[in-house]
Amino acid sequence: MWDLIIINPMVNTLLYIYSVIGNFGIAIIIFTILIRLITHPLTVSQMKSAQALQEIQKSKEWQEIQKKYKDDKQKLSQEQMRLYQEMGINPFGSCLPLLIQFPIIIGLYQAIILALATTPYQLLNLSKHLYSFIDAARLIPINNKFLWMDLSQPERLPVFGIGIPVLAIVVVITTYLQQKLMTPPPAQSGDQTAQISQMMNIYMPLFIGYISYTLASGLALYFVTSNVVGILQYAAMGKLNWKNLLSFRSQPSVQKNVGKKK
Amino acid sequence: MDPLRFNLFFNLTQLFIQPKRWHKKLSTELIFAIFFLIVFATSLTACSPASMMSNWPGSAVKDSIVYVAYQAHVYAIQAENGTELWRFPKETDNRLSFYAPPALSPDSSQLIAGGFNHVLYSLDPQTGSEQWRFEESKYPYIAGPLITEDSIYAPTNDHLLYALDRKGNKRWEFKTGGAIWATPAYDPTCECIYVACLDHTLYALRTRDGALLWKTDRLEGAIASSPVLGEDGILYFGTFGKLFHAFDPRSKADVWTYTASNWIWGSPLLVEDLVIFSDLSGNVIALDAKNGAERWKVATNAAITAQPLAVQNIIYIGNEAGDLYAIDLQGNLIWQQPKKFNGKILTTALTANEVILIPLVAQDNLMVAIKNDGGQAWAYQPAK
Repeated sequence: MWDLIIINPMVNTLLYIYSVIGNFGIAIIIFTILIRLITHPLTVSQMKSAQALQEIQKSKEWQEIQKKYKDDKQKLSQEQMRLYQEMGINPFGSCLPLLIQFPIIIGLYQAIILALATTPYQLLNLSKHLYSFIDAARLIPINNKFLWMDLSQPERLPVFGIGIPVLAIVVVITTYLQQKLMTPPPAQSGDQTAQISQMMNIYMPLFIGYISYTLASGLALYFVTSNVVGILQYAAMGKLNWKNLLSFRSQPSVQKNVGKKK
Repeated sequence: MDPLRFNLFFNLTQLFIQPKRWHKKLSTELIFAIFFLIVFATSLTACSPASMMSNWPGSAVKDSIVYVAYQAHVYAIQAENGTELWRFPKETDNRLSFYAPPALSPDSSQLIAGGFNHVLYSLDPQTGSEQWRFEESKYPYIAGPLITEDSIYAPTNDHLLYALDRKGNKRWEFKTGGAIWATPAYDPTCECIYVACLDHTLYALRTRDGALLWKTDRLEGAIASSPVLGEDGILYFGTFGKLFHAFDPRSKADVWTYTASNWIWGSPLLVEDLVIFSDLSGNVIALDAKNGAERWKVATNAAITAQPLAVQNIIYIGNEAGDLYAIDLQGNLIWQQPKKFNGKILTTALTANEVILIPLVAQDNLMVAIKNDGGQAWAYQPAK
């Protein structure tokens, strides 16, 4: 089922783009942009949900229930849920699009590795995933060289005999930029959400960078493209938080009252 | 353990050790975030190249000893009873695995095995001790080497073919346009070797200095298996473009071609006046070697990547589903063993001591030996 719904369409789309372009690196970039465009409604939904959550957490009513029920966690969460319902907000609305993208990322990685097929067993496996319109005999073997990289291997740029993981570094930088630019200002300085946000701003780039450092560079190319496209998507919607970029402490936003659901 | 993993591990450990103190610091959201990162890392690493390094065994046989290279070891097994004689290396090294079939030298003094760690090993076939190693390649060995009286020809996955002397010193190298997964074929009449390449090209190289004598135009598909040289000097090989070629190296032109229904992966077998090969649709096809006319075709139900084996005019071949077939030279099915061995048969069978040796891709057995009637003689399962 996973192969039928995720892997096969991805592998064949990737190979189709490659058959037209003739460069697997560019095929990954185009494919990533395509995926980002397809999942654009999810990104918008995620952004709106996050923004709505942000707004509600700035409201007086929210602050009041935090104080009022600070010693009764159960009652606090009941009241929070009531507030969410009143405002018509799904608290998981910002998580769900992220979770939907999760299998896409895993599938994309599997599709890239499958298409590159660097061993006989992998190639035999690939032969079973191909649609009839793909002229695989002409395409195989896939040229996995892109710039200085072998897309099926972890990337290192040799400089004076030392392999520098340039792409992994670019992944860390772009992930950090994306996190910072796309994170809305926290409701209160030092609150739990702000702390989590700050922690994720550090951990996530390092984590994605580590993955890029150790796994096939085709995936790192995906991360870089995806990050850049993500930033551009937010920029196009006018939602980039430039103030956050050079700020290493959480910036509280001005508290304001949020009106009830109309 | 790397710092990032240590940190995540530490945080999670603290959750259990000091739940009250950490409860104040860690919200459900943060726990979710950490959990998400771990699941994400596990999902990716579970499908990383390292874990996808599945391969199939390659083997060689001489003097009642069968040599099998698979995963972390090269094994020497007694053909008469399946007893392990030695393994190389003795202890499992996680950095070392074998994809290429080993090859024995004509005088049986060397067993050459190429590792996925880019190293070519020369082993003593009697003891498994290392004689020398060649470490110049920057990419893995997928194809088995060709060994002649005075040379070793070792193709690699980085488009290079290395020619070494028998002591492991490099004589020359030749760069093709793609990875080489097939053992070259030696032609003593021209003192040359034929190299089939994934770049859709067949190369003829002079053995003395590696000079390119000629190469074919770009063919319709990659060539993943060794060409077979007939007594008539014709080269027989198939491609992923579904075309089977009878190619005359003297005129550098096809004598005839045959179109199969799927990729042709395994090497052909020449027996009497037939050339027998298979395709990924599971067909076993016998053609008249002279003119390419189809004599018979037997359909199996799964992909075949192995070269057929002929023993006393019986053809033995297995497929990916693990079915083993015995077919006579008229194309009559003598018997079949459907899924008897609980594994895949992806590589060529061998024969020694009047048994057929079947290398397997399976959870348990690496090799089974069967008698002519299909009954099992022994099975070999490597001890952990």
